[in-house]
Amino acid sequence: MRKNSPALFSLLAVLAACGGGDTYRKIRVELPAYSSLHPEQFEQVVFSGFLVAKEPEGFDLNKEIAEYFGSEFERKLHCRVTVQRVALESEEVFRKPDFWRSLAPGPGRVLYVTGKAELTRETRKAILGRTKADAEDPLARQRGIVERTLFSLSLHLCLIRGDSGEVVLDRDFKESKAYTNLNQRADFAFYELAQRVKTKLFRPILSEERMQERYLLLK
Amino acid sequence: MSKTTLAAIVLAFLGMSLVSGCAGPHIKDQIGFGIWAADNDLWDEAVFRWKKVLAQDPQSVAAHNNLAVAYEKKGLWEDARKEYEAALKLAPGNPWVKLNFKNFKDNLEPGKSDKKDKAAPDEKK
Repeated sequence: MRKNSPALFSLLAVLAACGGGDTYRKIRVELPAYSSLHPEQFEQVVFSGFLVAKEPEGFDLNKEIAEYFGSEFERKLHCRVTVQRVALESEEVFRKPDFWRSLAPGPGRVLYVTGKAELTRETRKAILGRTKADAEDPLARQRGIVERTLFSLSLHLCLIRGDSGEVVLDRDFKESKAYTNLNQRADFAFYELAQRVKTKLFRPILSEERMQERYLLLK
Repeated sequence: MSKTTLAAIVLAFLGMSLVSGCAGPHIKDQIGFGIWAADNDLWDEAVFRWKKVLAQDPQSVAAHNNLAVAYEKKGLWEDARKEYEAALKLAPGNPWVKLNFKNFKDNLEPGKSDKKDKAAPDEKK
């Protein structure tokens, strides 16, 4: 047997090389996001208003959305942005091409930005737990109930082509953030939440690349 | 085990390898070359290699799957879909192709693309 060992070893090595090994390779690759919208086709972006379901007292959600996202559209799409408030009766109007075609201000391709929005503020109570480390620390926080102000921004955003009235992008966003400051102002909270929406919104519009995982097969 | 038996086993194995492997190594090389190209961000070269494999072996699941990934990289969504579908038709149970296709669809469907990729099936370490 000892005499045959090298040969046996070689045979096993060859078998292992043939039959074993990985069958795939995991790669991380930057892939563009799919976009049905071609931003370069538009000369003007018109904020035509949002159906506002709820907004904090004294806070004009429509105005804030147009101001915040208007400047972002202007910067990223390099086109003129205007505000033209339209009377929106219900969400069904987003799917009425004739309605949007009739609004077209003239020649030049227009992209309408509309949808439904809601900014809510609520006070929530939370129970503070104590960890093992807290138990040994005399200055650690005490167990008890604390209050937080929670702001939530829900945005159903529709981008509509002016020439055809067709919806080119229809997306829902919901962002929330809790604040320890019970008197947190709505405009500050809106700014933070809108920033999160912005990142997600422009990715598909501009086909921005995003790191993703894929598997390549080796055999 | 006698020397004769051992020699017979080795010869039989080498014979089988020669018979089954004549067409194999070339295709495997092309797949590997494509992966090397993809690793080096040479996606056009990778596409060329994997297309070459498909010309020789249209049943190659690896070539269809890898080509789909390359088409995704190039933003050729319809071509990518066709290749994933072809790969899944040939190997409906392949977890890697299934996962790639799922992630591909997540990337296409607005509103779902922000979700994290689902956990992969048991990966070999």
